[in-house]
Amino acid sequence: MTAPTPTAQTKAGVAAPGQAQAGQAGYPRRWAMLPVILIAMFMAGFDIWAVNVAAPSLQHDLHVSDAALQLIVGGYAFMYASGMVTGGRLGDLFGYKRLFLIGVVTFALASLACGVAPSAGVLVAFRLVQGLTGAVMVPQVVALITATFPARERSRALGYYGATMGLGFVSGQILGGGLIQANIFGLGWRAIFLVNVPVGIVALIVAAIVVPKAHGLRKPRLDPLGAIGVSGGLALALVASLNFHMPEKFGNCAWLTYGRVQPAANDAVLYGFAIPAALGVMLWIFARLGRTELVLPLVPVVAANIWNLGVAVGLVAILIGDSTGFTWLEFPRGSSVLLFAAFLLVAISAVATFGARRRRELHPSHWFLLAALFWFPWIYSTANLFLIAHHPVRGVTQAVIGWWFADNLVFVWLALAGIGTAFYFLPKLAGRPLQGHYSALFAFLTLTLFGTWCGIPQGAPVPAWLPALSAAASALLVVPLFVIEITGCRTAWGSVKSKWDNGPFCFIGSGMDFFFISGLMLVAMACPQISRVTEFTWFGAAQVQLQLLGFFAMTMFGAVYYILPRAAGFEFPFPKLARVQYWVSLAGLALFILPLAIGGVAQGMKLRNPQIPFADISNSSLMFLRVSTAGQLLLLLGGLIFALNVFGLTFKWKMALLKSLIAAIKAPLEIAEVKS
Amino acid sequence: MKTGFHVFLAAFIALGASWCGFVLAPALQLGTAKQAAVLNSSDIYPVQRSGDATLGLQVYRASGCAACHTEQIQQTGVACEIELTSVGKNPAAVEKQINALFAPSPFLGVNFITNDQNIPYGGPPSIDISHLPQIILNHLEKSKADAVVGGITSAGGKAEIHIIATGTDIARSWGLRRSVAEDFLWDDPVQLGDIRVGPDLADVGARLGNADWQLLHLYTPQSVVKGSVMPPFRFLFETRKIAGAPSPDALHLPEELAPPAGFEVVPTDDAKNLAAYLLSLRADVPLYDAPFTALQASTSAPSNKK
Amino acid sequence: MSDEPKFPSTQPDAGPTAARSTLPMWIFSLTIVLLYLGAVYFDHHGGWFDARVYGPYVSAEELDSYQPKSGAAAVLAQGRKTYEMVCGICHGVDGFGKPGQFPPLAGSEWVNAKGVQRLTHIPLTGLTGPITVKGEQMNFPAGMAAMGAALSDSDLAAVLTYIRSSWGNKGGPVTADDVKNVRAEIGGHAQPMTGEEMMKMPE
Repeated sequence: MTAPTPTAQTKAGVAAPGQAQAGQAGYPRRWAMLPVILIAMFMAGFDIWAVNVAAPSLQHDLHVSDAALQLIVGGYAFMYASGMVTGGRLGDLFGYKRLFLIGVVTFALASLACGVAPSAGVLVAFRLVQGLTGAVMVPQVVALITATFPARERSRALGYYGATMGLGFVSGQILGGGLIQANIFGLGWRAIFLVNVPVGIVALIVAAIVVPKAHGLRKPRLDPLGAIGVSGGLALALVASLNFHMPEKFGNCAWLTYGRVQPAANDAVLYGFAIPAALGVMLWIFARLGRTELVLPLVPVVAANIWNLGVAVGLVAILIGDSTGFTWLEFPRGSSVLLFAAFLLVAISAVATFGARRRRELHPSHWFLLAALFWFPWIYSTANLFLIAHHPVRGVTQAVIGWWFADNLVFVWLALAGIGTAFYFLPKLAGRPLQGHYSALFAFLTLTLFGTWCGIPQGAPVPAWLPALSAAASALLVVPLFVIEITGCRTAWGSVKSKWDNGPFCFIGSGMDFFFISGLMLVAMACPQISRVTEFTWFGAAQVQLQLLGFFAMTMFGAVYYILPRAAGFEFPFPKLARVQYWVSLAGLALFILPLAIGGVAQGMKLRNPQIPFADISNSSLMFLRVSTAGQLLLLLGGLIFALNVFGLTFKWKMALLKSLIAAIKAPLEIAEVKS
Repeated sequence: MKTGFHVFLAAFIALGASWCGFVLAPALQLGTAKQAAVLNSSDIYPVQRSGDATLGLQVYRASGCAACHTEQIQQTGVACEIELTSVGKNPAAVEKQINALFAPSPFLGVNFITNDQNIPYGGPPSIDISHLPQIILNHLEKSKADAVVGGITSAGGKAEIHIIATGTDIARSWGLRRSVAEDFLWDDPVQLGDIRVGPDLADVGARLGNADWQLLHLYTPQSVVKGSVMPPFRFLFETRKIAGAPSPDALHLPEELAPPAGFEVVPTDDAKNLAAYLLSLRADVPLYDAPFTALQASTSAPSNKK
Repeated sequence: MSDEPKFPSTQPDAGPTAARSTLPMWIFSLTIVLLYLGAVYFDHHGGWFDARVYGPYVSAEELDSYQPKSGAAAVLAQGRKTYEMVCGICHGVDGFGKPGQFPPLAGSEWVNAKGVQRLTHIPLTGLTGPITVKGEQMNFPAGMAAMGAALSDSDLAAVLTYIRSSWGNKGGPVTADDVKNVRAEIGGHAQPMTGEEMMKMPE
């Protein structure tokens, strides 16, 4: 275990050699403190169960649907549970008393909001907030007990803790029911939330007096749950394609029908893996380019949890039939809000890190990545407000805005994030500077100016000016495609051949080539003569998958393989598997994309001939789809290898952290730290 | 790009421009679209769907039908055909006029009349005076068609120009004209689709407008369409014990799929609504932005057959 | 940090840079050429932002020329357009009029009369005073102005043909010649006629 580096806390004069722990004497006012912190814990547990009893009143009063009721009960528990780890860490860093007080205040405020909620939506939202605040509050209780009670009294105090927890759960049902029956002031079910407010106020005042300050030290880190996202997404995609080959098997299950699984698979890869990976890599790049530490390091951790929750909720929603019906925007409203909030949080941390940079000069990656940070909130909020909010736009305008969004997200945003990443790593791994500054500038300007106009398909049921603008913009897109490819090639070539042994280099280099190819496919699809053959065929699907899996996923794999060992300080458990994964993924891509593209063109040529019956056309595509499915299996295998490595590393990392934590607990505490 | 502010400015201008062009402008132009007049009729189009069909759109969305089916007909061209309605008092003069149009031009040596692929016609059409009205020419460009009709009228005859929309989708009988904004006026969400794993559905209500067929097809596509790759949507149906008399809604299934004796397969409300929605999908009336000559009486009202 | 990762890194952290090499000129030329071609394409195929122009039509004029114009159907289309602009405000788009004020045209005996004389006079001279239509008396104090006086012969003929064949009416067409004859009969400075005067005229 290395010596802890000085942090802001140590500089302020508070010694922090490890986890705070009471010595022989203990904190004098500990028995006065115990009931106060236990009351707070009781409230948090009470609220998990009291709502169960209130369900009929909620349904009667607010016309809460069954789905919303699930969220009110389960969502609280979910946020409570998933936020605990983060809450504990926050306490270690900023002080248990401070976090406890913050938790109590925010819990009381959230309960107040729940208690006065005018509609089901508001109630659900604030229940989730309440769960989160409870999760901030409760871990501090154990930490405070451990910090203030001497070893011989600790088991008794922890016994009281356990008893309070159980009492909270039980009395939630009984007392909760009683509160609702009593119908104090005619409030009915609202009383179970509002009762938290006075209790919280009292606890706040008393705790401010009797709870001591204490904290520990832990290294902040990021949660790389994105590895699940890519495997999960690829698995869903496999299920989708199996629907073609064994339609009878999936006929009875609404969850597994192609129309639901296919969008779920795409969204799982994009929102579950691609965007979070990009954000994580972005934070790393900003910190390294600026020679600074990450500013606000815990904000992205919180954001990651919120994002993952949003994605999970969204995927389940699609599978149960609640998709919004818009491509790449299928997650329902609540999920979108979570994703948007999480993205903004990460953007705040990233921009703060960018602002705190010591090296003031901007690198081309800065332009691309900053633009990406700006791009997503605008397009995401526009799409949600115009298409999914209470008064969506009318008629075919929805399709136009949907196409604009899809192009700006899947083509432009992924290009900005991916090329920004590549322009950082390629020079680093090749050992020479990026070739050159002005090419990158020209590429950036032309990509953003032209790429954003490419979304409208030719032949769409919209006035002619829309597809005409897209066709012209797609022709102009050739310029940034070539400039980027030339810049990348010039940077990567002409160096020592041995860099091809370098895993991340292989991934990122191939990724850029795939970007070039997928971009050319996009330009081809916009030519009116070619679009008459490729429209409505598998060719379009091939282009999107090449962009997403070929270009972006490979670039992210390379970046993560580079970053994670350096961030964790550990090697991957199976480093040689990285090369295996590269070849498996490459083979998988070839087997997946090529048949789709060729099959799409064949399908298109047949569609042009009205003499060929339609059923024959679908059947002749099956052969190509079979090969594609084999490719998807390989891609899934590659994703699993990646997940294996990432989780192996994270597990090692967590184990090491746990070991250091246990070591710190066993170390003696300096009493001077505990203030009376 | 010296500072972060410059980057922000560049990104803002780029995205702002496309936001104005592809979000704001269409919202102002198409978002205020109203019902349009059907050409040569006092109807307006589109008529709002029935309640069942509107619920059916939500079933369509929830089942992800747009993942395989499109709802947009493409049109690649437009051509005219000439229908001779009367030869007037002097049939010989009319015939002479028409023949003159097919005489080789003294300068160019080719016929004046070519079809829309600019291929000359073989010779003048033969006109059977006893069987008027008669289509005498087709695949003409508008200016040529006007010239022919002008010639016929000056010789005392009467002829009409029929406008025909052309394209592969139309040749496949998937529709009579291209899809336009008015077709989607009442749709929320609009389910245009982007891949044709299955056929286009924009006009399926006119083509396959039988609710029983649609329900059977949803239950077992392979039995109804040979070689279909569509997965069965059996979760939209329920198999239940026959209570008293068999329900009139019960599906007439083929032998190998029939339920055990005493049981029947009935569509749930979702299935019935989806069928109603499919029957409401019609795009067979001419509009100003997609004109064609309606040669038989067609109605823009949705079919309410059950 | 503890053990160094196994991936061979060829570059110690000497700081990433970008070489300031110049951009080849052909890229600019290509961009300008593509911009020009794109502009030409939009000019030819864009319909210049007209909301009614969809492919394969490239301009509003072309779309207009392809509207079915010849034949009875076209007359009806034209008549309907003009009717809704000029007459529909009072007589209603559905021909129902307004009870007590504007006479209905649907099922009206004035409209469905065998001859077209009387009917054609009404928009060319206007009406004043009460008039009985379908058994009901109508009286609009200001009377009806000569709404058809400003229309051309063929336009007014189209409107009257439209009225006579819509909403269940079964009258025959009115030709431009009919309108011309009535106009000639009226001469200049026509005065609004009353209901009785109308009834005295032949149908």
